[in-house]
Amino acid sequence: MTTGVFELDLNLDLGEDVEEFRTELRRWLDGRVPRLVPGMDEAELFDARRRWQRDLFDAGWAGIAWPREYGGRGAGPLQQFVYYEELTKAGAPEPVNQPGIILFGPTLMVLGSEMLKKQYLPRMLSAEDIWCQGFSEPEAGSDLAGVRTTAVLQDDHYVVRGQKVWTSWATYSDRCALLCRTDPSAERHRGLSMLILDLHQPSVEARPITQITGDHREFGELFIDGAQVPVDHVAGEPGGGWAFAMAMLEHERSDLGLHNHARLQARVSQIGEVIAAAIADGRLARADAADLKRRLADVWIRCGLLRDFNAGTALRLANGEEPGARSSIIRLYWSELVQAVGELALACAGPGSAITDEFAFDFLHSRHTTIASGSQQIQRDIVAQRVLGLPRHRTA
Amino acid sequence: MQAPLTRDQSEFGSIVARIVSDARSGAVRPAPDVDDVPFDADLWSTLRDGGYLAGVAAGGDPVLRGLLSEEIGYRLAPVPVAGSVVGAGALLAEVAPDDQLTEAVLSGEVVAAIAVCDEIVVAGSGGGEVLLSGVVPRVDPLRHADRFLVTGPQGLFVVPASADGLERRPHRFDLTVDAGGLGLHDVPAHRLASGTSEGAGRAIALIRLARACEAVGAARRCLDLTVEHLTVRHQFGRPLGTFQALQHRCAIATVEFEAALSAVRRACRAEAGGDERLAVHIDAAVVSAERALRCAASTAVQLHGGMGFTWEHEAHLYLRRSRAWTAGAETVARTVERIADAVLAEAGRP
Repeated sequence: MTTGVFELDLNLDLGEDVEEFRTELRRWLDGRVPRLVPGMDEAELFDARRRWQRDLFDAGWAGIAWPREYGGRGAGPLQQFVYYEELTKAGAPEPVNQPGIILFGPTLMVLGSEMLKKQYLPRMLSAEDIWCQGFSEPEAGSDLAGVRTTAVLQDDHYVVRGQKVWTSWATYSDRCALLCRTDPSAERHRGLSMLILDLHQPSVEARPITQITGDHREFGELFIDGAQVPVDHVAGEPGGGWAFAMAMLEHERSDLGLHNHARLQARVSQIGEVIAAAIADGRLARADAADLKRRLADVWIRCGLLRDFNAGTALRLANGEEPGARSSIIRLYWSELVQAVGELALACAGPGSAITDEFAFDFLHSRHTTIASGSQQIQRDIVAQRVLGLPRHRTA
Repeated sequence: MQAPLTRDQSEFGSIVARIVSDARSGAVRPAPDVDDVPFDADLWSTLRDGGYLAGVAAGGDPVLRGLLSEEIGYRLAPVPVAGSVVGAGALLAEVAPDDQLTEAVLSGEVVAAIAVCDEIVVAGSGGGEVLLSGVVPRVDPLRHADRFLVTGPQGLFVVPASADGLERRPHRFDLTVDAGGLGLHDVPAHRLASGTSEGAGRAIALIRLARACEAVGAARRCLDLTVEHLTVRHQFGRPLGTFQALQHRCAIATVEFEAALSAVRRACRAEAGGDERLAVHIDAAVVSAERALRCAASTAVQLHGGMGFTWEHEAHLYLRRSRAWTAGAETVARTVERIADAVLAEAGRP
């Protein structure tokens, strides 16, 4: 991993205990990081990542900001910030179960019952249970409140019917945080509840969807026809599904970014090496070299600023502030940066040279960043209306 | 989502925001037919007498300097803090720490400007008093400077503003900055130091950072003006701000602004912490701030419609600043290239 100029120091004193944490983590990581073998198929890759998550959990290095009673480390957001950086620098595999550990878990801690927390959180952190997030439907994309999947209460359980789509890790998952309609008579935002669905039922079918990259991992859809959910498996209040979903999305928009700057910086460094080699070889026309250099500097600066954004978020969380609607600013910044890096990776292949599979994957995959978790347009609505206070033109 | 300021820093920020917004800078606006650059003498003396200038001058607190610069930029207040107190002050503090002039510039008693002249002709005896000839493409401040600090390969020279042989060529595009070219024709000067001054590069870097902070403040003002306009102004029977196309332009400018704010605050902290990579932090701050102000000023003019196209609305002043501002004599393109070269040098290292 390149160091030096790529590591823009923040000049912020994260505190002695945070630096001690960093040192301790580095010491633990040394020699323990599994190397993923090129050519692994998707299922093997997922298994390897799952085992790595288990290793982290067993050694007390999973769920840094999670309370100890749920298997976490009980540290703060600053340690979490450092954690992601160090894992990336050590070349660790991407953590598994992100929808659970980053989004659903922390929200459940605030809004869920004690029973659900005890039953599900430790197993989520250890990756014994893999979680997915059942939000989008064929008729409910950006307009999430339009979900049609129904859950009807019968005696002591709900009976669920409907379809979820573009669900990440659906085919690998054991549990789903399912947004569905429990009260068809209520106003559309109020009739929703967040249910915990056990996917291992005959009435649930998970099918993969091939993504834009040609990859079958990650994406899937769920067909649910009469699945059962115990009545006490509502996360949050019955009818409180919208609030629960929004709290999850705020986590997604801010927290998810926390581990992204380090990976992006590493990728930019790699692209820099490709460009430097091409210039040294005299392979690039002057105009191409100038263009690539300008774009390299641009993404390099923005990666450094993303790190600032993330550190700033961590510091604010540590001060007890909630990111709220401002998380959409980070989401916008991050999503456009990921795409700019993807574009640059593609461009630096240059005329007459092949686009590597890795860079092609990055570019194609990067298109999701302005769609998932609320499209770029939804995020801009949120910034305009909830950060700048402009009048609403619709619910945001 | 830049890192939060400390309580003291926030308080300082609110105080200087009040001082700058209470000043009459808003009224000291240039008229289209008057060839003069405004100078807000009252604001200058308030800042000087309150010790604010000395507090943020070279050797003072870089974070507070950044906050004051943001507020100056917010109002485009015509006071030469960046050029004189910060830049000329830093150069003098380095070259002639004990000179009377140094103290006077750092405290704001005397206004000075750095004049970088690569090809300077020095005539006269070997003593301190010489005659200078040369051309300086950009000096800031120009017409309100009491002294010019002419720096080149042969040394650092002090030229009083009243000296014979000075030819001022004001740049007229950015109406709130007192900048322009300076010609010297056998101008009597006093030599302060011989040889190239090491301090000049650092002083210019600090000017660029202060100007970047001003640009970020100016971008914030553009956003504030625009949001207010969109809230108040009605068309089609509803506030303009309800239109999604307009909302999105504001959101885009907000993201750029937040990024630039992070960048300048980081550079200020880098200076405060003695970071060895201060130069690259400043370059990143300059590029980000330029981008943010360019975006915010264009947005402000466009979203104010016909009003934004008039002289009486202040949007054009911000638009002018956004396009003329090159953070000193260097273009942003050159700054970007330097960053790219540094990144590539690092990447190409085996």
